[in-house]
Amino acid sequence: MSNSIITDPGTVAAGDIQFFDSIQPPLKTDNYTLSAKQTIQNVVDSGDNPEYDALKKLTIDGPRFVLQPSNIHSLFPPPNQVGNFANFLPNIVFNDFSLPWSRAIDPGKTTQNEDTPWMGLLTLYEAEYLETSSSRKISTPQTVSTSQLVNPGAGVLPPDLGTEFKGSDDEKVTVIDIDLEYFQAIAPKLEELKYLSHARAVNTDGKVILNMDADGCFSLCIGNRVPGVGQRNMILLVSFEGHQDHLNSASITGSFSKIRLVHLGSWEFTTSKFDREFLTMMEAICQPGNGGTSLIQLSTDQATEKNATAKEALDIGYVALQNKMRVGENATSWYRGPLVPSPTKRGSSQPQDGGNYGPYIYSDHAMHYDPGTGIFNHAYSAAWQIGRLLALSDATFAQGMFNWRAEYLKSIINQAKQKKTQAAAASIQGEMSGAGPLNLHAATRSFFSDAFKKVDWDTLKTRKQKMLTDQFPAVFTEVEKKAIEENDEDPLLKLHQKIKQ
Amino acid sequence: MTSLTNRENLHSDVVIKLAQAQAGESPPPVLPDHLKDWLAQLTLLYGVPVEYLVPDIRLLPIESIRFFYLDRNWLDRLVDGAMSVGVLSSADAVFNLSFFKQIYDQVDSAQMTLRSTLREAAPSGSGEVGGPITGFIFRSQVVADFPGIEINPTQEGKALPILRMDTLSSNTLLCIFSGVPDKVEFIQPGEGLHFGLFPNDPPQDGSDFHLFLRGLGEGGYPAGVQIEDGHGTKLRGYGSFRSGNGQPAGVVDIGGLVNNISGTLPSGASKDGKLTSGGFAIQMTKTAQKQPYESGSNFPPCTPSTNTDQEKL
Repeated sequence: MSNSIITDPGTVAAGDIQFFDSIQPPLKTDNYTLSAKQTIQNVVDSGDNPEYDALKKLTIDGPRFVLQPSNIHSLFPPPNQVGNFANFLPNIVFNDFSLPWSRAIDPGKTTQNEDTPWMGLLTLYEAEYLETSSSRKISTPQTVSTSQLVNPGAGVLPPDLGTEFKGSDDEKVTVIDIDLEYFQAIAPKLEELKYLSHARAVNTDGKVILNMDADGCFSLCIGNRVPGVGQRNMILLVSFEGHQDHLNSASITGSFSKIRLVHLGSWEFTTSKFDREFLTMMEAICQPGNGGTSLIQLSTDQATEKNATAKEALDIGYVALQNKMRVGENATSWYRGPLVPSPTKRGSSQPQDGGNYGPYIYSDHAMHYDPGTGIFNHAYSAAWQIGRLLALSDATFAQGMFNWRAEYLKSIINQAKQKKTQAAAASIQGEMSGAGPLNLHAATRSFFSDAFKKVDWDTLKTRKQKMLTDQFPAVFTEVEKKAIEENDEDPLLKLHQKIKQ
Repeated sequence: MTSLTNRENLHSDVVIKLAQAQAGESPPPVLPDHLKDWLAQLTLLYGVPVEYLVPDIRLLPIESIRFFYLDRNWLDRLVDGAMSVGVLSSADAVFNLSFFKQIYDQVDSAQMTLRSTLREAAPSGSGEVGGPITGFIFRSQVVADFPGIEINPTQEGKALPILRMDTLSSNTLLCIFSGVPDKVEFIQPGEGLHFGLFPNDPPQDGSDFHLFLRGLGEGGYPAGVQIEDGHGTKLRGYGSFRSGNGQPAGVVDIGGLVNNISGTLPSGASKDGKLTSGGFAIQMTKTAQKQPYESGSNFPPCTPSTNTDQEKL
């Protein structure tokens, strides 16, 4: 931990966080006078060595009455959230790594208390800040000019910003007036204040550590009061500049009932009622009266110890349950769920079975019976039944399972049929000479065309031809028959005409 | 075309085909993703009534953690039961008899990726398919009070993949992981690096809260590591709230706390025996708390079961 200025998080190893007491700016904000003196020696014709002086006034400025939101990196507890923040101190993280020390708390003595931040967090409980509360300790923040900041009127204690600071009517500042006695009770002491701010350099190296996802140097202010449980809380970020003698345990001269503070920001959150610690609760599990940690099995009593079978069964996670047999008999049977206190051998992956152990087609297959004791074991039959019931209760799954199985079987049957068909096609086509693609259609076509093409089929005659040759053998002459055919005449009409003649 | 095929021959061909597929000579049936995921969920006990997991309430009393192995035989029977749905003919039964092993295997590998599929994250890649599955069932107010509790099972320092992590009821957490861990850490939900204190439980005189002191990188105490004495007890600093008439509650006496811490720290643990603000911040840091359970100490030892090869009736 040093106070040297670091800007490069690379100086911190990946995944590391480095803490600094403070990161001091080279000069705190103030008015400075730069003076230069030059003495010229050995000047001829001069009795003494002439001296030349130069003075230059300069001002280092920085945030004072207003903080830019971009200066703030994160807030904890997160604004407007509800959570278990009861045992956490609120904090604010600034991007500007030297912001809390950029200004001296005592504007008159900028070189003193260098590690003391000029700002701080105040935690206010619900009853202390809500407008509806009768015990309200604060005023509503208001915007005033900076001259009103240092001259707030009777009874209000202003910050002591030095005699040089007069304020102006143009420059505006948000202020909050707090009950003085209350402020002193919740504010830190001057010497405590330096413990409530520090800086840190973070190198997360691409991996979020402790919820910090940004690399670099940050400064923090921590509150000194834990939030109130089961209520809303408000955190005020205020400037303590000029209030170095007004903090906790300082005695105030003069009659003041309120103190005026520069209001830099505020946020609210709610702390849930629950305030127990995680580890305390985890440790409580092992305390008497609670379950403790162990394997999932029933504890054995003395009677069980004497019965070797019962003891072994309980040791490996079985419980004895009432069993109503189908025949109406009531019996005690063993049952064990999938959660067992000792490793088991998986039947379907045992080498002696060649991985062929299973499946059970009925749940009755999975019932075990010990002839020695006459006790049934329903562990696996119950598993089978609940598996079936769950599958039946999900129509999509049951339907999907059925379709998947049916489709695969159909494809297998189709393949087998295809094989038969191809064999038939091959046997038909094999007798023929022509080689072509082997399928039933082509084979059948080629079978018919090859086998029947040499037959001398009857050629068909038209009705006219039949009539002229077969039915009227001697009526028409050859010349007349030819004429009828050539002129495409109806033979019956011709016959009629010929008879009339 | 039926007439061209011989029914008896067809039947034997179908059986031969199934046998070939079963032996891996022709492609076996591949479970569609939705069926595979459904069966994987089933084997990770999604939907299985709690009464089947914990048949006797004495197995899981209030405020308890029960570690377990998952019985693969039980899960196989569960799958058998689910596959028995819609078995209408001997063909369906033959199918189940032929391919149960392939189905078990596909479900086994789907188990490994189910959680990442559900969370739409990249699969962890580690974990032995078909290997041992263990886990615990945790019934405590902690489950209700700390949503987002993290579980970190490790085996020889290597993280084991979590296959399922679900709350069965508001105060019961079921966590299943692949492999047999030798250490399981219960980690408080991440709160980040913040500053806090631990109320004294039970209350004690002279102080209101304590914190666990950490090394500052001086005097052989590594920075940020909690300091323990020779008996493994963590060194504590004590502090109190401001008290007095009209004093609002909850204001930490920072000065007194600083004095207590710098007085309690072992000599040499802080530079020049003084606590600075950076050192104070390290002491106040309250990171997420962990409760580890290790095999051998408070993780109960296990003896392999001898009662698994019972005869089928």
